[in-house]
Amino acid sequence: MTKVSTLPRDFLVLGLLVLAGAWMCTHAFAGEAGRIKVSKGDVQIERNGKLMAAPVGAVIDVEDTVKTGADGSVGITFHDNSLLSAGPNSELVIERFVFDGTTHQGEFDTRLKKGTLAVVSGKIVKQSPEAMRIKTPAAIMGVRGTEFIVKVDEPATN
Amino acid sequence: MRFAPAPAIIAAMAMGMAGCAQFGSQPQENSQAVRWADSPQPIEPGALRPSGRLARNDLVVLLPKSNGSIGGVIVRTDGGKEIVLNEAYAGAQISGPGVMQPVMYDAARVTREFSSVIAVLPARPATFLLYFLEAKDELTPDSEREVERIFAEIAARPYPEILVIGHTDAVGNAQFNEQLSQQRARRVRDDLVQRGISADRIEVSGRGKREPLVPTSEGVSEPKNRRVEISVR
Repeated sequence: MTKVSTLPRDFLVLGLLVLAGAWMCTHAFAGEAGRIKVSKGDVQIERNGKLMAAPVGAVIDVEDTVKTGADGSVGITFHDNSLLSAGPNSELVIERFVFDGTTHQGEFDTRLKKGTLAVVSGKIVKQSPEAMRIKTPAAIMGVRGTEFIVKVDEPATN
Repeated sequence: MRFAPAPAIIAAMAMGMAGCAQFGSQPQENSQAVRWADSPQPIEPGALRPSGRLARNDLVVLLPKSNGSIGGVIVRTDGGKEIVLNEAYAGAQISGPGVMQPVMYDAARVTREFSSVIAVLPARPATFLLYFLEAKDELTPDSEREVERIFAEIAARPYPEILVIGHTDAVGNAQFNEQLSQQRARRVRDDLVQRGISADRIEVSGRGKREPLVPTSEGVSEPKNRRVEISVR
């Protein structure tokens, strides 16, 4: 008897625990990924649809888009010691950044929508080659540990 | 609850976390195939317009390595095409999804086309070691001579973020060494703060005798292990 009556409550508890697990996982992915160390000219961060200033010291979060104007350029250092910089007229999305400071395991995905990007890989790549990926409209780069530049140059549209 | 609680709790939370792999990772591109349908920016309609350049002119170029590490970059595009870049100035030119060819750059051309973006790469993160007198939180004379240069280098960085980790050698018990290592790290932190570096950008910890630079037997006095490691990025 008691067994039957407690069953729905057991499921409720189970369901809450599943939700708790899911919550922990989403929150592990959000959050601070790096900081701006160099900021010249017109540089902005787009976060949750809002544009904000991007001075030296500003935090870069996962899902931020960093935008530079015609005279803008920006350099960012990430928690795993990866370095990224973007030249003028660039748009860079930090899609995913996960890093365990102890094991150095992580995942790092960025998307260069337009402009130029310079990359110096960090601890994530040293620990797991190709765990850092740079996406462009027509290609994906798997980073095995190095320094390189990427340019996205769209076809002319007028 | 009739079932054993601990395993059930773990299992239930694991179920919730199972979605993790898919979560932050938009389309999963672990597999080799690149699926263009998933890309928020597929082929631009502008590419089909009569005027202007029709193809895109994307480029990836490997730079010479500053630290001599090996690795490289693998560039993948539509149709399973890939180019591995593993020597300085090797490049891949992408003129559309699935249209890619190798190109060779050189130092002069990289400078001409990309100096503006390379110039704003942040300073390379660095690690410095300071050594201490036995059983004390005072620097050795050698480290005392170096400390000004190191602190000046750290202070010159824009928005330095610093991790200070204290260590000891294997003389004395664990508790004593845990305390000593923390004392050494805090000493370095205080000196950095005196140099004008904001304390909230300095993380401090002590590892006691647990992580020697030079492994020794218990009770061995080893100057190289009596150290503080300063990592700055």
